Amino acid sequence: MISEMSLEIFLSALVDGIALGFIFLMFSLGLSIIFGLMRIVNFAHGSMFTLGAYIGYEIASKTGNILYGLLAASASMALLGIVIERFLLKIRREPLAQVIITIGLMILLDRLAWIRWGDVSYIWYPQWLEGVIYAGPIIIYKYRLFLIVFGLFISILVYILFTKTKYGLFVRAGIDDREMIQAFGVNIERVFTATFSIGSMLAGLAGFLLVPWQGVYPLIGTNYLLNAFAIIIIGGIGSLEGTIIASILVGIIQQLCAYYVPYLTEVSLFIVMLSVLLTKPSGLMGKVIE
Amino acid sequence: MLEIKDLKVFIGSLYILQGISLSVHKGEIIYLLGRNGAGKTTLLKTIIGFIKPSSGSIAMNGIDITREPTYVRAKLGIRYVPDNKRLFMSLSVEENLYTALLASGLSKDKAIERIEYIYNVFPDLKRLRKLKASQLSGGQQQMLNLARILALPNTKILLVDEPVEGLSPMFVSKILDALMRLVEEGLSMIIVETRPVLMEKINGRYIILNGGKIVSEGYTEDLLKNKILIETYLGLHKSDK
Repeated sequence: MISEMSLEIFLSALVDGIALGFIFLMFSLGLSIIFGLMRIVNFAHGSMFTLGAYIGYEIASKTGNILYGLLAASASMALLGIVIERFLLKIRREPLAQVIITIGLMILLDRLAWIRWGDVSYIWYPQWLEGVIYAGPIIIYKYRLFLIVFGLFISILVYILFTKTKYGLFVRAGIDDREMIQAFGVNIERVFTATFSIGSMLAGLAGFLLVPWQGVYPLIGTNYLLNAFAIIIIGGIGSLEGTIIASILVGIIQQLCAYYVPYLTEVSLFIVMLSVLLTKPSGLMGKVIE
Repeated sequence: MLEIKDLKVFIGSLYILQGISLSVHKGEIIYLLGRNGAGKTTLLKTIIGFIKPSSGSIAMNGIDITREPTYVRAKLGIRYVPDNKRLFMSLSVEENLYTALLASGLSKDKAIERIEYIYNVFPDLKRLRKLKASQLSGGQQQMLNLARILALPNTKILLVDEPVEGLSPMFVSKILDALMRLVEEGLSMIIVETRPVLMEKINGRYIILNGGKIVSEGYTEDLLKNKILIETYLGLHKSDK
């Protein structure tokens, strides 16, 4: 009886972990691609998560339609990404200048969100995704199942984008050697803008997808930024495959900790990161950066 | 075709190039020689646009490209083959070729056609096409390095940095064949060499750089007879070759 209960709890935690993992994936993937190609540590990525969550919440709660929320969150952040890349990051391409610009943006965007939405938590969920379903003895929240399906769908789209399209090929080549891809005739500035926009869009999307689960409140994205940094280090900086594996892994470990050893939930991420760094300093799928 | 006038490059507080002027005409081969640190690679990198010059000018077919980004220079037909085999290491052999072809503006169908042509020239690459570039040997990487360029349309001038350095005689011969093919197509080239390997096979003009300045220039046939020049600036004795 006890072992059956344990298995049910374990499997429920596993499903929750995969669902959380897909949110981490969308959030971290953008950060990872932007860093891999543009060598920018984008500290404003978390603020885009927060803003995407707020904007998606506004639209979804007014229209009652999750699809409009998803579109609003992703489109607004994609647009903001274009504006930031073309008008702010382009000013100075040196890494230090860009770090300072993104830190400034993080403070500005978080403050603007705070002014607009205040120090309050908001939560909204679509009626049709309320409640649970039973898969044998396992209880699964409908919304978390939706997250897995939708997350998988977005991940496949992103994977196709980066492996089967011309743009994706240029990005992967650019991650390997940014100068040489230009020497073949690619206008890297355009690729930068598109990449920053896609990364920002994914952050906004991830932010809004978390609203029905954990709500949205000031600095939520900036809090999760640390998780995203740890995930891309665990997966291997600049590695798409590594980010995918690390996101799901961290999601599962965090949820298992939340069920079994709640006091270790926050710290579990860093235990995993340290363990990986000690055994494989370049991350699970990373290459050694010279 | 390519006209460089009084090119100067500062890196940090160092003067790497101190007023280089040279012209490359259609179909001409120029060997850039000199010891390590003479500025040979810097000159190539400045021509392709990786390094911005402090002063001077670079023109291609009469168009001033001194301030143009690298991709514009590539579109004008300037191609760079780096010495350290800067392949896209996480991509497969075929993806490396495909990326280069698509980047140069070819359609997907044309790119696939060109890849087949490259496989005819380098049958080894067809066999290795699924392997990642990082999994190739040094010689195979250099073959792919050159094959990427060979595949490209609209190439006018090739900047080749030490194409046979450190390669086994078998690969040297393959690289030489590939370069000969490009010479026959009428391409211009600037080839960096630290040892006179290629210039013994393919004649052309030479320029010796020392401390970022041109210290000697002329024809390779004359240089190969001039032991003093070779020993002074290339640091080679006849037995080294």
